[in-house]
Amino acid sequence: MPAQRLNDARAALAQAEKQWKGSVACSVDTESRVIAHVFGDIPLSRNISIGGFAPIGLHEVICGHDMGAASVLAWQLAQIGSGKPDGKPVHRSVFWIRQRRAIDQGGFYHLALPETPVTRPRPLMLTVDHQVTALWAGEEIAKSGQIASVILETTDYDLTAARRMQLACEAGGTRMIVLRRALPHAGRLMPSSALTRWKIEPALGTQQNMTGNIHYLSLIGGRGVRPGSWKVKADATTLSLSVVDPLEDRLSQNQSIYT
Amino acid sequence: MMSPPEIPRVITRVDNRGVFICALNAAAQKAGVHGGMRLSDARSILPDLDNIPEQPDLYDSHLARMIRVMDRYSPWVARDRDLHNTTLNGDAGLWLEITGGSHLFGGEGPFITQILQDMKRRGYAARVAIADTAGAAWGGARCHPGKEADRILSLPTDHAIAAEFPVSSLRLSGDIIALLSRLGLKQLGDITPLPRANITTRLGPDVLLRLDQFYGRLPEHLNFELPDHPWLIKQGFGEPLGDAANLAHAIETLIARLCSDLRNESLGLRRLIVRCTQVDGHTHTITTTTGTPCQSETHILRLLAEKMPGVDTGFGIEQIIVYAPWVEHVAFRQVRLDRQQDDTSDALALAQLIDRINHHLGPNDILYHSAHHASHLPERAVIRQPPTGSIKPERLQDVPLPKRPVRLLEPPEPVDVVEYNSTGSPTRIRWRKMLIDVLWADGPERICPEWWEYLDRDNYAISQMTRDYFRICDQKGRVLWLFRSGHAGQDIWSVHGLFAG
Repeated sequence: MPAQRLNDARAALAQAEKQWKGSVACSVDTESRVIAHVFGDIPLSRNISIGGFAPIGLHEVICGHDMGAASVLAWQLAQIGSGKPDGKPVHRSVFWIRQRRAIDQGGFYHLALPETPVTRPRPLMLTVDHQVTALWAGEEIAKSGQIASVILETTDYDLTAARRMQLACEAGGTRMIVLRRALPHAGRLMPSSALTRWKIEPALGTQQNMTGNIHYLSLIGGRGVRPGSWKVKADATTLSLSVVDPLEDRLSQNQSIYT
Repeated sequence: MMSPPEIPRVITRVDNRGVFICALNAAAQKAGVHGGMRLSDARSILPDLDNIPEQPDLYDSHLARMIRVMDRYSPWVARDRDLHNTTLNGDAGLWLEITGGSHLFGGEGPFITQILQDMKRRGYAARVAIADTAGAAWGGARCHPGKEADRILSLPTDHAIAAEFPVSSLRLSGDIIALLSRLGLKQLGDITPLPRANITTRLGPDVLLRLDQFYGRLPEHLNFELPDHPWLIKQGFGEPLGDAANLAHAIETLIARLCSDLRNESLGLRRLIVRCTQVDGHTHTITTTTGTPCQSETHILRLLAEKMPGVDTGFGIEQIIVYAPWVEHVAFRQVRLDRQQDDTSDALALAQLIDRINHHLGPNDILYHSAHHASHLPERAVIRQPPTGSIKPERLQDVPLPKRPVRLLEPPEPVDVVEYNSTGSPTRIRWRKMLIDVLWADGPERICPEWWEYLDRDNYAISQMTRDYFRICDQKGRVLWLFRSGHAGQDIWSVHGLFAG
């Protein structure tokens, strides 16, 4: 039995080493600050294995019928890898690639973003017509090594594309967040080689229970990930998340209601 | 050349047959003098005719100056050498290859107008035409019946116009034109229906050659005047390059030479033109542009590699021209001891990445930085800035913003409001064919039209009306940004964005 544990520990260590090998894309201090800012009191360490948020690699954010919260989550995840490897305060760019009519919920509006405690990089926006161009650009940017993070907003893509993106991210030391719709594939989500797969959906509201900033955040899969789900509340000012238990009323005292 | 019209003036050329007039002004022409006339005959008409002996060097210098002027419109300018040698009217001709360049001057009509104005300002009279082939442009400039700015000949479409051109528009010798005239063949439309074999037999090969060149059935090799430019390398090949690998190797060598020269002068190229000429006169031009001054041949070759598969070597490439018409000074960069470019610099590598992406994008794809513009209207508050160079700030410090959605629908999508409450906010709407119950609504936030701006956009109708924005939450938990516009009693409701919560 101890031998088995030792082997498991070695395997976990090897996995962590593989993910982090020679290319830490940001200072640990910056990363932990961003994670603390975004996820607040969500106990992610129980669900994500050694290595934590691997700064390099492919991550997915899956949205349902609401793109707003998913966009913010993708943006916040992209911030994690935006520092310089040597920890200097210079920040590398974030590319936001959007395929027109892919998700059909408008374009990212950067004026909605609040000022974060960590100085954020300025996004470079790329809007394309075709998925092929979006995938090509995503791969080219990811493997260039000059960009901290890439957010790719495209139609549903296949496992081959996901694998290529993952390899490109590893080659260039880049983090890529793919924003995709939750399209079922034979009753299940399309397989992917993403390191983490997130899903965020707004909580349903009723006349008695008026929501609007309450979401269900799920970590639905990935490598070395234990799935988990949280009911979270989005802070309207900072766009950060916090666990809701019990569910709180979204309305503050100074908001007016018309129903 | 224009001169004071009241003095009849000619330029004469002396050869073994005597003294001939080779150029004349309008006053002399009006009096009955014509090119090719002996000077003694002209003097019998106009005894006080002012005669200037021809000065070929002066003529060449004027023409060279004109070619430099035309470089503004196109880098590919060829002089009409035959015209000066064969005609004796004092005409000179230039061909400009303007493929893909006329839009920079507002289209083909404004392009012609601008050239004419430019020539007039410099004291020259000119006729300009745009066509698909050099022969058609030559004929169009002289024989097109349209107004000056409308002399545009697109051959499949304007076949009827071309058919009415006189045969002299084919650049044939005087003897052949006279023969055609005797046969009653006075227009192009008279020649084109004739059997080709008969034309060659009766009139010689020149007529068919010029006719085919006119209609683009045969290529016409123009000798473009290469500017006296330090960043131009021209390489001819005794044995034409027959395959793509050899062509790529030759271009690689020339680019390496050009980049080496640029590095020695601390310059970087912003635009590069590679022109490959086949043995049959066909040419293929590749133009590439960089966002920042570039000295790296590796980067340039990578950009060119995207377009190289389109180059057809045909029967062989006999000449390659590599030309950098736009170069800029490069800020000091640390070079490695082995003299290789240090590509690890973040800014430089990012600029090269942006170049690669820009070269791959389609016509509707755009790469930009978002910047904040001081405007109340949400769609105008964000403007697009180029990815390289100086840009406006991402957020203006002195312009406070109320809460804005994370996703903005552009243009806003219309919705039907099914039910209102007593305060005028919607309680049930239909959006994208779905009925949506509104749980709560927050608002309104009134945005007035910017009457001080010139409104000339697609959404003019919406922009000119006051908008009342509401944040509404539906039963699915989405928070939408809805606005009401329109005149009293005729409200138009639209969804403009989605919030994150």
